[in-house]
Amino acid sequence: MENNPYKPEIAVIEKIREETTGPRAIKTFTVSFQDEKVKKSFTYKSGQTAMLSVFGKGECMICITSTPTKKGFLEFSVMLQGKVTSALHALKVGDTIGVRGPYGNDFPLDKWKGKNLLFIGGGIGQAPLRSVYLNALDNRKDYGDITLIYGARTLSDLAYKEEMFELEKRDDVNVFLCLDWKFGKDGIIDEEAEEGWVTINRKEPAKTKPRKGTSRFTGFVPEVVTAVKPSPENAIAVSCGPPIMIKYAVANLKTLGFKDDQIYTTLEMRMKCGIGKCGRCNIGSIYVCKDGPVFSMSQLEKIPKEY
Amino acid sequence: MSDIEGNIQAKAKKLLKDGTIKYFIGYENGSDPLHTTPCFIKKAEDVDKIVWNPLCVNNLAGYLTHDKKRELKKGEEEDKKPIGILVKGCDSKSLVQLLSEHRIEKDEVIIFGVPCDGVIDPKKLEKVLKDKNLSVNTIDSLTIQHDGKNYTVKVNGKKYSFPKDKIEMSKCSDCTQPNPIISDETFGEKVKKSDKKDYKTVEEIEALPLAKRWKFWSDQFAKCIRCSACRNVCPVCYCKECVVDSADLVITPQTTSSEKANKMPWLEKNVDPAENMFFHLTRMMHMAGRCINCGECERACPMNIPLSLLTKKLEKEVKEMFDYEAGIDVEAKPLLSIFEEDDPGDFIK
Amino acid sequence: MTSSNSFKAENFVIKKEDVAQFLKGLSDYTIYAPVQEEDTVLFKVIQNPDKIALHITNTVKSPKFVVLPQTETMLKVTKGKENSIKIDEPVLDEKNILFGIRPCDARGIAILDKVFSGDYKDPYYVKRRANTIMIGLACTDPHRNCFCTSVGGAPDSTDGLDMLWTDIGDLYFVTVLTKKGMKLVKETVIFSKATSENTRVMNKVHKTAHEKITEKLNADALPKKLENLFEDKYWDEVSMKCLGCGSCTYLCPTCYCFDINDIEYRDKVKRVRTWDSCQFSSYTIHTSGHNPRPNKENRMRNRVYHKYKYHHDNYNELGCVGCGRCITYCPVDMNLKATIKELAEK
Repeated sequence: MENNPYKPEIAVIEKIREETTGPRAIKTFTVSFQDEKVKKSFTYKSGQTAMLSVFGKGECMICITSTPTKKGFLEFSVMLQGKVTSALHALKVGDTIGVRGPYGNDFPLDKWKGKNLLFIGGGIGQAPLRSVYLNALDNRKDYGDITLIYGARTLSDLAYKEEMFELEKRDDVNVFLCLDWKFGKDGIIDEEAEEGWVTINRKEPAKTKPRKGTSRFTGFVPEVVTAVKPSPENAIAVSCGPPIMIKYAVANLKTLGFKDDQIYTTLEMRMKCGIGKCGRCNIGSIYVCKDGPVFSMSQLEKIPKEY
Repeated sequence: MSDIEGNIQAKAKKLLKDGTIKYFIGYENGSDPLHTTPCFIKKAEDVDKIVWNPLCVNNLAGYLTHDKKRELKKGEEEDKKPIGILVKGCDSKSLVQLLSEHRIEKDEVIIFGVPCDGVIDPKKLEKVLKDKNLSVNTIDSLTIQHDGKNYTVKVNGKKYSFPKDKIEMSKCSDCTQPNPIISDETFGEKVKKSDKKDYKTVEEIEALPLAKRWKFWSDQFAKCIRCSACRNVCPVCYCKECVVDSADLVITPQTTSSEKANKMPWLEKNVDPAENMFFHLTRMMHMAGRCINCGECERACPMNIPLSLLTKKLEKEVKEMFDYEAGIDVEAKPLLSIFEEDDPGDFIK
Repeated sequence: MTSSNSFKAENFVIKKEDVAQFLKGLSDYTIYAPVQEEDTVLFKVIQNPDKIALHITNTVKSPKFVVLPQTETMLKVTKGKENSIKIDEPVLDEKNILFGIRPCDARGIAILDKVFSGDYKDPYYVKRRANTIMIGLACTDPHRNCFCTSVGGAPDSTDGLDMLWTDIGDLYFVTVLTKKGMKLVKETVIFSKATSENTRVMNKVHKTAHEKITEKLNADALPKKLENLFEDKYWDEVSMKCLGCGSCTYLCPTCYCFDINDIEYRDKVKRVRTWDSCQFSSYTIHTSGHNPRPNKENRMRNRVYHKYKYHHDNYNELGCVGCGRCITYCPVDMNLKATIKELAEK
């Protein structure tokens, strides 16, 4: 059969990095196609996804977390969730999986040239962002300020830790990490999550005074957005993470003056075909698999709130 | 409009007006003159939609569990008022079964009982009318009267008489429960019907040699398209999670990935004879001692699989082996949860 | 997908008694036609043309399964030593004829043609479809739930067809619409050129059929209307009696949603496509347990929106052909015609 979009290519797992552990552990798989021709011809853009197969268990749609500026391999960060992700987590280096794609749209990095970029990520939501900011950093001169705000529940839930710590050292990118509040039996405990992590002023996040030289906070991501006070001027904000985080982060961005067409996010849905045929990922007349996953807030305004 | 219909409307109106019930489940006229359809009346002024006639086929009892499966909308509060429901004799058995299994409690429902002398099978009616050159397209009015052995069907002002067995639902021919077992108010006179179940159709299949019986059921199940109409229409198939839906998990944030991953796919979605047979036999096994033979699964099946043969067989077996009948007693313990010393054990060998 | 654009239709007639001979001559093809078994009429593979039942307006199941089977193996995967994996695709070279397909069902397939081609081609569908010849039979006795004329169709619509046959008494009037159809006619001497009298009778039959469908719904208003009815209370009310089964969608000639699952054997895996239904809660449930369409009102709304708005947004035509099956076979008599009417009047 010629050009069968349902037929995956075989890829070998070259590296597995344990990002986080626990019941919702995240592993990053570095894979490369067995077939040299495919390896050369497979191109993608930041924000696109691919359908991964563990033969016998099924398929799942995962965003490509590596940057297209690095060739020859693909990276996928997979959180332990269900049948296929469990099977993926059980694989070892050298094992094979199926990969088909890339699918969906991408973040319009070309259109964003010359702009300041703000990335707001939470938990596994950092995975789609990573492809974009690594891409932008590899084309550093094309963009203005690049700012990353990334939060997780605890330090051990922070993915891409070493990479983030390296980025913190660079002076051409602003990195703000944050960890959720510690919880005691009476609720939130007002103290540093880790030594040296500045506690956000919870009543008025904007008044938080970071200690000199640090950019690590104890607090929720949306509050950090307010504390960091990014300027909406000539800026694009991209936010991925838990829905509740996105909701408040976007609200705080709007308070800072960001407009709907300056704010982007990604959506996820149950998917099977990946090519807009099987039906289930529709929101209104669009299919998230092929028309998404990247949407600006002004685009989301126009579709039914059914996600 | 019959007195019964009027009295049902009046009572429903009263209960809606004084806020006793959240809604009333009954029947209204359907998509064409041969059909009635379930209706949910929420406002007192809408009660005149309610109809009662021999076309009121559906068993409405299953709807009582629908609200419990519904996910509340944001900001929506659960209405805990009881539901008013209309039940025929057979439907009341389903209701009793649901009460005995505590899927619903007595204070969650106000039961309008109506003795029933049989209901019409719309498919059969369409057929006999067609034989008289009456296409449904041309029917403006249709009323049905019952006079013991025959039904008088008045179509566009002209009367036709049909023998009962030609147009009645086949489940009605040996009905032993024409009067509601349980009700808060009964509408109409009690009806006398047969007191003996007729298992002739089941016995005909039982008498077939194994190979023929196998072929018969294989052919029947091969028709199945697995639309789940039989399961979803069944008043006692109320589970939130069904064994045949391997993907349809009841998942909470606490469900671990390994629980999800190790979920046994008992049944694949493939439509093939083996999977289809597994679907139906599994369903039947879960019906043992619970199915009251309302015939809804057979009626709902678009592919005309004679599922009542299976449910009747089940009823017969349960009766013969355990002297048990489902849907008779609210206090009864479920058959499969009780053990008697003299239970037959010869099926385990 | 049909080559009707460049083809000028030609008219023939065939004697009814010659139909069996015509079909017997098509031995290269697998012929599907309506067959009655007990009370159920379905499209089945025909060995004996005498069994064909053309008197029923519509079969229970639409014949879409010939081009989109309810179950099909997409890939066979063999796991070998040292992580080697071999993937085999099926060979789909069976040639099919759909004989006696009604114009609404043919339009259904014409709608599917667009869905399965487009920016991504579905090779399984495309291959099967290219190998399928559709011989339609014009409706002369529309069913009580038929509403094809309200959704852009007609009892004599030619959409998707290679030939349209019309019962004109002792003869079938045969309009050949494509080269594929012409090839079949040319292969035998059974067909003769239609006379002007034949044409007159045919036109009369078509006209009578049109007149029999008296109900005209304002379905064309829906794509616009539905823009503002997504949050309407109507969906809660109208869906209350819905059982959430899939009979409406599985019998529908335009529903095409599917699922893909792996079935694991010892060292082999079959990747299987099956029909799926937006009426099932498992259809949209995320692995996390979150379901964007948790209740039947959400799911029923999606079914109606898909057919009367979303499909229209994407393909500029309604995703419904008005065959009425979803009404006829609904266990609780859900009435889509009434729904269309009520929505159009909102």
